[in-house]
Amino acid sequence: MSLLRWLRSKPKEAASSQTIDAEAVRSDESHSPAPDKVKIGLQSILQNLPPHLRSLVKQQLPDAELDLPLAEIQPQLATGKIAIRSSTFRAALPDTVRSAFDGLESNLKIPIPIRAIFSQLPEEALSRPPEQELEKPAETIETPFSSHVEEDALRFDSKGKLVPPASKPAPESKKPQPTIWTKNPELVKELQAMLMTDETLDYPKVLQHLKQLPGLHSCQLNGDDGRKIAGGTADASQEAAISSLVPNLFKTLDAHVKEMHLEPLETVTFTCGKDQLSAFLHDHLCLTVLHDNRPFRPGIREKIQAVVRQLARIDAA
Amino acid sequence: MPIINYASKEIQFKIVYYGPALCGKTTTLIYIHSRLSPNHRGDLISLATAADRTLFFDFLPVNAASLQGFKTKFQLYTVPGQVIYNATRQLVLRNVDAVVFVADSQWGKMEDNVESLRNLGENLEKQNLSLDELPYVLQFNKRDIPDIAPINYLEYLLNNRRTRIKSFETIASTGFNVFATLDRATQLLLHKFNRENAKLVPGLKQEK
Repeated sequence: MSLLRWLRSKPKEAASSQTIDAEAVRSDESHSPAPDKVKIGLQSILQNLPPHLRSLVKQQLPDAELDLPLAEIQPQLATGKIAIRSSTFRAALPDTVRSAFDGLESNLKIPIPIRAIFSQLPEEALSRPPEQELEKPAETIETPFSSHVEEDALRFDSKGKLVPPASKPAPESKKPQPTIWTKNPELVKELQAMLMTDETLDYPKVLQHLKQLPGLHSCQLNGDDGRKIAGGTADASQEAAISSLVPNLFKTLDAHVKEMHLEPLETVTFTCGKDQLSAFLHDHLCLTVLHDNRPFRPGIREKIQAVVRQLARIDAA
Repeated sequence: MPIINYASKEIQFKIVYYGPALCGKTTTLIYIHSRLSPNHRGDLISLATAADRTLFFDFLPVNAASLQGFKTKFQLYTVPGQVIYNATRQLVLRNVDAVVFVADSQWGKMEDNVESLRNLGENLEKQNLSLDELPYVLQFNKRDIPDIAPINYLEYLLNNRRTRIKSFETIASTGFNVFATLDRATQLLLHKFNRENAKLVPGLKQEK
């Protein structure tokens, strides 16, 4: 009898344990992706679409979470760009939004932003080649740049942030240090007169005044070594290009002009479609202005030249 | 290949900064140029056509590392990163002694980084050179801006050759680690030169 009781109890225990296991599995499935998939929001994908694909989505869509197969993603990691087949994409879409992508051609590839899935990638997805060796360390040689490495180590913290210089105790005398703008007040007064202002001037303010001249869009002042002093344009790469190219180009042209036995080069204008760039170089200062596609109005070029000359006098004094 | 001038007792090395467009090669060079004493460097000169932005300058340090009584002189170049200027990149790479590959850390630039590195390998091969033998350093730039890839992904993408080389996180706009990267490239090329030229021999490329 006891045996019979035991035999009758066994299947129930097995069933209950199977039920527990099944519940555990479903629970796992609902809280984390299967190891062979990565989750990504639909909006992340849509925001990353190139314009010609974005135009295929005719309506505002709610966000949804998609499970994408890691097997289709992982081989592309080494290219720096991931794209999945449109069929894979459509299959991963919830039913509620799938119809919005009915127009997708089957041969299309849908870009997937790597940053959106990166944290879900398994460690082995970024494994190194097994035979890779580390570069052998060699004895340190002093180079012409070693001292600058040491200097920079003091200027920056480990994250690359500039470390403010150690504050020194304030000197007892509160006399402000003279600057080029205070050392020669007569020269600065002449510049104020040119710009028709009583305002205290510095390089940025001078350029602000110049920008008010008719037709000018932006002004940038560089040293003749390319160092940017003040001003700029709305485009950082354009600013860098102006710094690195314009002063040297001007000096090169000036050298050729001298070979032609002409008067020294004072200013040069480049017409580039609807853009115009004029450069004015005097002593160690180079002013670049971007302006309208027409000649300067009468007197404007001469005024800018006069201002640059005066700035050079102030700078040199 | 280094150029040896027996008359002036100088050895000239060429270091090229390579990488995709707008990754910070120019900014790197402008920073280096701005920090070096004018007595120890030449002008920052641009060899450029309408849109090329190759930068070249001479650099002759006073306190140069002396190799068997010869002063060392370093010429730093950048290449235009835009895809269409491959011919210019090939020209600039001629006789290169060391390469600094500048990668853009922004997520959206990963494909450009990979393509530029592939292009570098291809252009070196045309000169019978290889990154496996050439002194070479990785510069992961723009580490200060948001939305950048982590270092382990950049290493996976770009530092996956037979030898894992040294890489540096940099911010070229402020100069963070720029000199550390250049110093490393310089050390590698000086070590290579010492290994290959235990005693300077007339057979090397030379000027009179």
